[in-house]
Amino acid sequence: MALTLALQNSVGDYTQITLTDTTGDYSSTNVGGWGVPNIELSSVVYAHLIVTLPSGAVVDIDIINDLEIDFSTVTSDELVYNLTYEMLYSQSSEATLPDGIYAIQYAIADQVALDEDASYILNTNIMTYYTVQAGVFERIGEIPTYYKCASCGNQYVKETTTLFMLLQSLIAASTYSSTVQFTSILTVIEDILSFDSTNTENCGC
Amino acid sequence: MDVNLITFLAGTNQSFVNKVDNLVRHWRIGTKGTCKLEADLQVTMMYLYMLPRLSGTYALTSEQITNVINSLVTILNVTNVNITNTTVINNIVTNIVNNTYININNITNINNEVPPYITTYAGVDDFTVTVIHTKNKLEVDVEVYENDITGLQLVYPDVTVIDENTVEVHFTSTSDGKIYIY
Repeated sequence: MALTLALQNSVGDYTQITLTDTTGDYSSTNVGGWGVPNIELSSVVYAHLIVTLPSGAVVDIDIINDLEIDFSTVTSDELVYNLTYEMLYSQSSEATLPDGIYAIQYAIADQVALDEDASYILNTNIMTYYTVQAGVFERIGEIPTYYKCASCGNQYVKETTTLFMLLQSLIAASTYSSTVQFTSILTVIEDILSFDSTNTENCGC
Repeated sequence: MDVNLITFLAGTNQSFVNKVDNLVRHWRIGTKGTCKLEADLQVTMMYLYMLPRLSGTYALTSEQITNVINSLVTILNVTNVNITNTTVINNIVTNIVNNTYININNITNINNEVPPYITTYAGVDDFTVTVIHTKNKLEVDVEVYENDITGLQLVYPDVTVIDENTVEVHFTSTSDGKIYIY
């Protein structure tokens, strides 16, 4: 069996994506791992992360040169790749990653360029929603200001409840990699958040 | 008085569960006029979800967090607790995120909680108690506690809202106890 790449991701503080190679070493219980009879880590000469940003722009990150991972010495449990905002957006300062889908191709080869017969590719999606989540939390934080008439018909609470429900479904879509639904729900949340509900006088009193 | 915030949140979650259980029991017996309780619980659900998850650049202001916690206290009828120190609130949220414990000082008696209207009742066989509560609203929460040999027990008699200041509570058997109107 050939090398079977595996990646785990975390978004952490939302200013970077952290990818951890969880392929592991070859063994009788991990036949897709690094090492003989599969490709050895020290043989890797081509390792790239090709990231398609939510905007559609493509960023090619050379793991060896840009992330300074030395495959001649690295061990399989040290393959951690931090993709910072600066790196992904060519900016000089850190910022929150824009919400959306980051399509990532993890490509490995023991030749200087990708080749159909001698390369290993893993495609994965990472979905971030920090900005809209913060927007929904901001709405929730304002409930005490607009929930004063003690009525079940409070318009601000109704809108915020809907946003909260949409956020929960967005998180579920992210967890289960439902990219189509994620994009659709994210767009709706962004649209609703763009309305200025703080001016509502319709509290249902 | 020192209050551990984790304990506070555990307590509010327990109150939330009790209120939801109360709502469900009202649904089962077909009580009308529970929409205010439902709205309160939706708001509480959002607060309890959000508070432990606040972090980073977009976290709320100290004033917003204080308002949220005080709103929680009011909705859940938590007594004698009001968190007034906004610096402490910020520390609280940070520490919740880091899953560590912190003690809250500066606890004072809550000053914005609207107390319930409370009355006692007693009757035999089928009887109806008319309560004039002066809450001046239709969406009231009615809780009835019946005296039995173990003390006061929460019961769920039929409730009819007559107008903004009057409800009728219908009992099908001999009973006595207290009625709370929120």
